[in-house]
Amino acid sequence: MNKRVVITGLGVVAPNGSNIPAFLSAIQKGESGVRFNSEMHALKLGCNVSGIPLFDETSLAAYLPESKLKGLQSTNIKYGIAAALEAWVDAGLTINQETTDYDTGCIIGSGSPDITTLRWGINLADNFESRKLGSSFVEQIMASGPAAYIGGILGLGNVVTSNSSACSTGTESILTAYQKIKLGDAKRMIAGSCDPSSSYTWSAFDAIRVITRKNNDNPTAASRPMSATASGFVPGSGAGVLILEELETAIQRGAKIYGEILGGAVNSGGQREGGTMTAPNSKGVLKCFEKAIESSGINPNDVDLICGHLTSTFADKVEIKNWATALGRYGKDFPHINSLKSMTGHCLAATGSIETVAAVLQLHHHFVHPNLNCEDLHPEIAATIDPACIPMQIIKKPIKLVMKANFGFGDVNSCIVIAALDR
Amino acid sequence: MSADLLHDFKEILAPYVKEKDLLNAITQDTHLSDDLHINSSNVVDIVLDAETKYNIVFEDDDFEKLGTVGSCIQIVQQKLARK
Repeated sequence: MNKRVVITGLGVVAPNGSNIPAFLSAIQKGESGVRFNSEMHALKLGCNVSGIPLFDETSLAAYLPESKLKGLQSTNIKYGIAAALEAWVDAGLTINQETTDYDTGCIIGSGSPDITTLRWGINLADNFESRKLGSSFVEQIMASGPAAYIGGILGLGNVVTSNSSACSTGTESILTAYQKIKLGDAKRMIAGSCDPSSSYTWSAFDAIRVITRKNNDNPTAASRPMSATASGFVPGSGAGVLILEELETAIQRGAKIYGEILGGAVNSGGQREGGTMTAPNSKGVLKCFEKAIESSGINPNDVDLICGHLTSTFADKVEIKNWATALGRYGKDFPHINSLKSMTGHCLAATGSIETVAAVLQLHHHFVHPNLNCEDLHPEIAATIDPACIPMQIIKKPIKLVMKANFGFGDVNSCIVIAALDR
Repeated sequence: MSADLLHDFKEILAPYVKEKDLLNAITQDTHLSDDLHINSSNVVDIVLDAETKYNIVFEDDDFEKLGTVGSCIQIVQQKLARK
């Protein structure tokens, strides 16, 4: 089996837009979703800014019964459900209440359960009141919680599972789902990831000083990918979900087709050759890019846009060098590149799927979104690629071929290649 | 059985009943799972809600007696009488 796999639906809950129309408008205008976080301030964290979606929870009442909504606290599950159902409806699919759909599966990753919800439960248990946890605590702290909720709402009968690979989770999820369809194991997959809004998760990143402490008084300037003054990432949360489908099934039902997944790669640098738990082995990153190019059968000269991982840390300049090396393109020959994190912060496990949604929107609507806060481009980046490759304003032009990558703690990497169907 | 208790208990059950029209015909003989189609996992939530409302505590043995609305109300009445 070697099925062609297309994208037919998109859903998002992002810091700068809690649904596709709002998110599309925000990324076209360059609107930041990074705001001051009073809870992080009260907890006396060094970083007091974050990207949290302005999420309307009442939207969930359309999909969940009152009994399920009543005890639901976990924000990753709420975001995941909202994004998945938006993608499902966007794909022109309906919610079947009676039968099981054995052709459709779901892979929704998370970095962790919602630690704020977990804290609530642990406090009850420590107070000898664990009997008050109620019926839904287990399903909310299961790693597979978001997928389990979505699978139940839609009656999914193919694989319903979760993946977890830190900040590479979202892209890995999409590539795993792509493989399932390519091999003929499923006709349709709901793929993506979500991460909760929890100051308790972010306090751990604060403790290891990888999130910025320098822009608490100027939140929208805090996330500065590729800038010489980047001082750490801004933590964020949300969810991104894509509906992937066999090309022939999508054509048969007359579905809108956003683009085709041509291939990709997932690997690890092994925490060797300079790689550690928290820093990438640069050779591993390069191999991931090269394998993605090889598996998708593209000519690197045809790549129109790179949607980078680019977190606003020291690693940005290394990533740029690896892209240039993998493509064999430098200076003015380098394609456009941007980082959604300049507007959203780093949504951790949700970042890969939210950014892939952004990549697909740019492909479909023919634009390159602006990149905020790198007026002071890092000199090592300027020495590798022409500064004009990094747009400060929206660029409207046809985009036919996009590469998107994400990396995560554990020295893990993922890279996906997406093309317009009429390429 | 007090009509007030039946009315109160209907409010406790309401979030866990998908088909809201079933709530209209509740009597003490109405069965939580057979008649109201309440998910068995939600019985622990109903107990917690009743405990909060009446400031009582259900014992492990009480859980086995929770079948009909009447049996639930009877347990609540017994605990209120002992207060």
